[in-house]
Amino acid sequence: MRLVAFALLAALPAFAQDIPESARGTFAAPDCRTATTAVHITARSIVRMSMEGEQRLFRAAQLRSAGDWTLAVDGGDNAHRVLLRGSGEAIEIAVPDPKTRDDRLPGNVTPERLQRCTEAPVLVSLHAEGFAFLHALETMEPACESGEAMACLRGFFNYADITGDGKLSPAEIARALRGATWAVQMAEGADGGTLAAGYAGSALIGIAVAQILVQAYDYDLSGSLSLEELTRDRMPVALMPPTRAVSAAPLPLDALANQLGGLKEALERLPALMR
Amino acid sequence: MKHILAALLIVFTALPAAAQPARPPARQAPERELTIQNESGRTIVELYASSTNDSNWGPDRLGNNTLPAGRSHRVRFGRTADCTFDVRVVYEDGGEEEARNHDACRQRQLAFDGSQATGGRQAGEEHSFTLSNQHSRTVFQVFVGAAGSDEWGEDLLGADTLTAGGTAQITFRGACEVKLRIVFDNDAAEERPGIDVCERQTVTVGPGWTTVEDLASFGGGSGSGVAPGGAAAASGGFTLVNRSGKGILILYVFPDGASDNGPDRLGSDIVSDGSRFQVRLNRGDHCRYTVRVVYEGADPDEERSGIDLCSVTELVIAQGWTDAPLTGMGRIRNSGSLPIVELYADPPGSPRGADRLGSATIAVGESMDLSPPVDGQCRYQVTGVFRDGREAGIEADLCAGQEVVLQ
Repeated sequence: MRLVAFALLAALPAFAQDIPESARGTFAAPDCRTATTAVHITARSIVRMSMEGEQRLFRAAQLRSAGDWTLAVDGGDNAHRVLLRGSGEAIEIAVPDPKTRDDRLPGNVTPERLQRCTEAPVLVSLHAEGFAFLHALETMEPACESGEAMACLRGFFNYADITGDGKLSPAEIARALRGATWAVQMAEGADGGTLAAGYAGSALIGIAVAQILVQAYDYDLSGSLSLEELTRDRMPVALMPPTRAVSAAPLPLDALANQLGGLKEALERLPALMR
Repeated sequence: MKHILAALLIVFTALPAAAQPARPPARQAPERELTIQNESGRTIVELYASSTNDSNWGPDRLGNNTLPAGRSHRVRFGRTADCTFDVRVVYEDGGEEEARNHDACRQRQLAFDGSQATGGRQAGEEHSFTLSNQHSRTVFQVFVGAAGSDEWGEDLLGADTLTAGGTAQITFRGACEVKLRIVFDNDAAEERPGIDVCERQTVTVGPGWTTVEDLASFGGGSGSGVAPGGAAAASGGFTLVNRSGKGILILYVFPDGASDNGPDRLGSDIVSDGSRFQVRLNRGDHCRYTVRVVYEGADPDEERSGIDLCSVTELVIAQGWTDAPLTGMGRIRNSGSLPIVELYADPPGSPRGADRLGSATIAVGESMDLSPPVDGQCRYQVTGVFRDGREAGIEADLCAGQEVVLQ
């Protein structure tokens, strides 16, 4: 599970301010009831959904002003950009031409205007489990970014533990894996078919992985995993309860990134299993 | 089941890694994307793109949108090791056009000009003429507009250029009488209206062509009725040098995107290691070629696309040749922290010319091959403009097959 928790964090920026609250929420076009396009905006993410065409999760690594727009830039090699301009009732979104220099934004863009929704359109509700994962991710980011691995892991554990009993059942682990798969796929852009295949794949494989995880680390044979069981013998020395003086080294985040690269690769294979 | 085991293996072998010394993170597969340019003169209403390995086209990438003539649309494939993709477009008149096996790792732009479209109603009759450039400068863009119209349509040269003394085949749809506009490498432009392309197969541009009374008898403005170098430019060829350590059994050389490999250029010959072979080629108006090499024995075939055979005169087949910078070209690498959005390469001391990237950009860590823009000129002042407006420049030899790092 630690892998899942860190899988998305590996690609996160060291620091990112938040998207203004006025621009957050769920928006749809042409209207909320008959939405064919919808956008869900959180503090650091923009999720674009469409009845046809590509679905995509955009993670803002940097945010700044560009005139009366908020400019969000992701952390990828192409540094993709999205412009946002929100009011209470609607939001305008535009994707600048990749050739347009930052100092010439917004440039010649055609903004898309979407209406704020108070109730989730059907289109959006299909992504609800993914949104839960995204919400958890953003909630625990401050601890994870500051290198507090245990706090970071606990935040993720709390997200996964939907019954609140302090244990993760195979079903809870599988749900977290589905959420992680959604996020990985959406971050790379996916059409509806690919997303559905990935979801079905992660549903099947997720439960298998979850059961194996439980069997591997369920030391008290309770049928579920506690935070202690998950971390036993596996946390870096510096984060173990001090038994005697040790030279404390910071958590090797790049090693964690290695782990997560592995999980991401595993998750990427899930849709292929369904073909 | 094999995949399931592999996935589980990855998860569980990764688990103890936190207790191990830090290692650099594994490099992820790069983001693949392709910019589709509509150079057809018609609106594209549907766009499908998928990996060549995928038997399904997937959904319409345009969704509810359309792609008007002259505009481009970026298709993202996410992080994938796949390089080759198939793309299909549907025009507003119902015509369809496909590009198969496009190598998005080498060529991140793909233009549809409607010339290969099947079905649908045709927007005007197709016309074709040879454009001969008798100017001393390279022509970067060619536009054809309908007589009496204020519009020019799309650049009919696309990614190609028309060097001094060279010829290019220009194809468009519309009426016989047109106006012609050419744009040079220094951004200067010349226009002439009232050209009947149904009457003549060749249109020669050169000093004075815009004002000469009889364009049909115009030979280039300097008294030469024959395009100097024109025949050689259109035929040409290159020397293949085999330093691969093995014999080359079969050699295919064909325009990028061609539906078949064409003939074996070696005929009954075999190019042994260390020997050279003169490849004869009737280039026509193509510059970008794919070279596929089939070796003796069980070694896998190797292929490289996007080779500018208008510039490359010698192609060395050696280990890593499919990725290495080619002699006769320079490789521009972005080692900065932001994408490069403009790239200029001009002879030292010359004013800044056109942006060599066109509508493309160079992502962080990526590179692109650049042919010397001016024939016979190797030294260039290469300047990259990063997206924050910062510039990085260096003087470099673009003929030497060297990497030019901008950071």
